[in-house]
Amino acid sequence: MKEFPNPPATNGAASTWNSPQSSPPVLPCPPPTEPLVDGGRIADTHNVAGPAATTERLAYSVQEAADMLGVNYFSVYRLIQRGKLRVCRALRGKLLVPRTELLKLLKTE
Amino acid sequence: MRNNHFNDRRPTALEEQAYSETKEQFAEHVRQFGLGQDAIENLERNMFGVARSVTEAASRRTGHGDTPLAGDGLKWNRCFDLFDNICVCHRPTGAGLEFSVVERCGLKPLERCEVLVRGCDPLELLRTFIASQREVLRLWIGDVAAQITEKLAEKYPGHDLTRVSDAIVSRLTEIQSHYHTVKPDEDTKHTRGIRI
Repeated sequence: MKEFPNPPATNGAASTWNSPQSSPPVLPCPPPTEPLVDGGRIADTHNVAGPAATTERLAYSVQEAADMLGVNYFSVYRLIQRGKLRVCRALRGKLLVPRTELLKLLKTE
Repeated sequence: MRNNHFNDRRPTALEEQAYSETKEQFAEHVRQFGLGQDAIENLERNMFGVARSVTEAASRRTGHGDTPLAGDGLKWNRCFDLFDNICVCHRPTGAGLEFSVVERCGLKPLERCEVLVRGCDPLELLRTFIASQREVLRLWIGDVAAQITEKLAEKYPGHDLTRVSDAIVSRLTEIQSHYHTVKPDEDTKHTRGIRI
């Protein structure tokens, strides 16, 4: 039995939003109306209490999402492919998994 | 500007450096992608034998003594392993047997499984599964290509390194283009019960 690959980890977060593409299902990603970028990460400014407040990221790469869910990297791609996990595309096609979608997935499970 | 491909003129020193660095950085991706592609192609080559084994196991009501529980509460009988965490299952229905390809991703409580595809015909089930996995690989390529572009832009701001990212991505897409199509007469070439 061959082991299906478990792709390597890469880090990084996007700081720009592009229009969604057709397949797989992607969320409509409107451009941010307020600055969201914090140290290269997309920050949740709604939770910011002050300059020193810790910011919560709004979206994660596929690898980061897999790490947080505790599942195989490829399992996340399968969830995306089947439309179970909706993603945004940014930076010329890089997939971003919104935190809200991760929470939604866990709630429905 | 698309007139500066590697096969049109020689790469600059910067492009050479960026290429070798990025290729090394994403070497594991390329390797893993090759493994994934091989796994799918192997399954595709052995599809008829696997389908026959699944049918036989289901008709004998034999399984691996394992009954994965799907998210909808349905119990499936595991009867054939495809990959390390993906197997073909069956369950009796009023009209006969239903088959599914399930993944144990450990996401759900009680180790419930994700039903990836389901249907009454094992062969059609495998075809659908293979097509979906090719789609997953394409999804992966697009994502990795974007990551490569992002890394290059971060490391070499202000430089047009499109040729470098194109060259690396083309390595992935070349692998992807080696699409193996199984013809019906290949059915007899494979023994049943092959594990992939």
